[in-house]
Amino acid sequence: MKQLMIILSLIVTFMFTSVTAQAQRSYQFTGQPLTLKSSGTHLTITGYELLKSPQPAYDSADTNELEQYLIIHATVSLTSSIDGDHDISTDEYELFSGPNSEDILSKSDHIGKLLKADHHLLTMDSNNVNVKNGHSRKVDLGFTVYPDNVYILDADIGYSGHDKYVQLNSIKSSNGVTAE
Amino acid sequence: MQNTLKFRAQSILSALIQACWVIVGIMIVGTVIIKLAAKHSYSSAQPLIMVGVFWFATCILLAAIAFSYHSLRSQDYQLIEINQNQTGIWLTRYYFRTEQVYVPFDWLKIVKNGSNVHLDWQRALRFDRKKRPHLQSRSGITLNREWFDATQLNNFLATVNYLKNGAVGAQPQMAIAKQPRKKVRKRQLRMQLFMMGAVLLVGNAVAFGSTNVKPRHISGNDSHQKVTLKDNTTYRSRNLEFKVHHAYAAETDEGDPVLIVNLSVQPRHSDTSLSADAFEVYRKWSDKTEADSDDYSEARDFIGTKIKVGGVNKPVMNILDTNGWYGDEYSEGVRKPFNIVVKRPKSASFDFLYQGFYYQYNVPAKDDDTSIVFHVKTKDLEVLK
Repeated sequence: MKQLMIILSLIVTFMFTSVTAQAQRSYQFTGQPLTLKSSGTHLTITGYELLKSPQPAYDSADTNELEQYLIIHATVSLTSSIDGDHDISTDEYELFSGPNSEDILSKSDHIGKLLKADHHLLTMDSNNVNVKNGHSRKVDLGFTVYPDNVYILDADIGYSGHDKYVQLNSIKSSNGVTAE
Repeated sequence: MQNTLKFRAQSILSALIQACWVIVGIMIVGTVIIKLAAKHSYSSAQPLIMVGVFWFATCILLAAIAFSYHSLRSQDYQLIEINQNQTGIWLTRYYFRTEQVYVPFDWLKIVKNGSNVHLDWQRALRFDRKKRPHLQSRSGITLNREWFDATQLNNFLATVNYLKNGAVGAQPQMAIAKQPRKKVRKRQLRMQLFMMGAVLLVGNAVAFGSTNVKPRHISGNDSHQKVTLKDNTTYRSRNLEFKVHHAYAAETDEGDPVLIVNLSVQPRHSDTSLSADAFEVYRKWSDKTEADSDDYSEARDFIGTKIKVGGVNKPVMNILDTNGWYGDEYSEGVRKPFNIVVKRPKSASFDFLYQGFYYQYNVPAKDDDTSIVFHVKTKDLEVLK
């Protein structure tokens, strides 16, 4: 009987550890600055905006030409305790507009000049932006999105392989189809 | 005189069968729990390892039970024997290893209590594997009458009582026990074992689920699963798992009737993709209509669709577009319910197709997904208006 109890409790312990092993890395942006940390590299999201104009050029998936630019304002900073510097790369960021995956904007989208002067829009084909340890850098992440969608930023800061997910907006809906 | 007390073989056997059933149950339930816990893990190796470790643990449990049963049977189910000098009893304990305890009559006390008989002793001698005696302090065992033949137990207790009191007076009368029927037991055991094996196989196959068993499709028709579209139901193609939350009938602001499917999708391999191009509606699906691209409508151009809800035109949110997602872009953090909008005919029923591969090629290639034909009854759709 004692052996049975020991084995059973081992099994139960094993199960619980396997359940809790699924760690959550999802965040909700509420309008307050949100800082994501990954081995000394910090990404602080300070806000986002949907631009009414200019509108993105026609894309084959967007037959009704509804796409808009979504700009996420953020700051990337490095703690002074880590060695060297970090190249902020466009490959670290991806956005989901509802179920649709969107890459970060490329240079040819020509919207850099519309943005605030002290921000640096990361684009696909420009040079990477470098941050030294103990310093920070303001960046803008641009994507094309459809209106009326839930936007989730997928950030793999410093290619740690541990993606962090930030849901930027939330839509109240009782049926999952239309907003309240 | 009854000098030995044996377990009733039938009771031991049914207890053994019960224990095995419980373990079979634990195995299936445990597998289900592990599968649910590991549902969001992307690699198929993780649940496999977890289930492997779990099954190993239950197998140890089974082996322990089987070992105890084996040693019990090799002793002919004997629990207690009166020693040859008639001065005490030998008690055998069957755990992982068999152990014998000697209790002299002077130290033995018997208490009858309803369905139980308690044997208590002040002291006893416990003999370990190397036959070395150890003095054991106050202890005892409880015999449940269910485990013994009633006549045999009464005979044994009468004998012990007689010897305990110094064998004075006439020997107690021994009642004659009935012989159990052996043949029936064996057949019953074989039946039970067979059923256990079947339940274990089928139950674990179902519990472990099709996630690790890739369905094989040979002919053209097998590559199309035919199902009925229902709310809160999970459907699986070779590469994807579709969880349909709601299926709605609605009308656009332009007066077109549409089908809106609210669902979430979980990839079953990393090498998958999904876009609105994969969804079509047919008045009535058949191999031929699909091969001829004779569809009623396609789900590709519905981004920005507005539907009438409560007299107001509202845009449909989170619609899948023709780019959708590809491969490892679609990680667990972005997996949320979304919508597919497609025009529907006004008929009483129609077919909604998930096209996993191009039917023109007749059979899906090894890396292609399989297709699902969802039969839709218009009256079963939830109405949004």
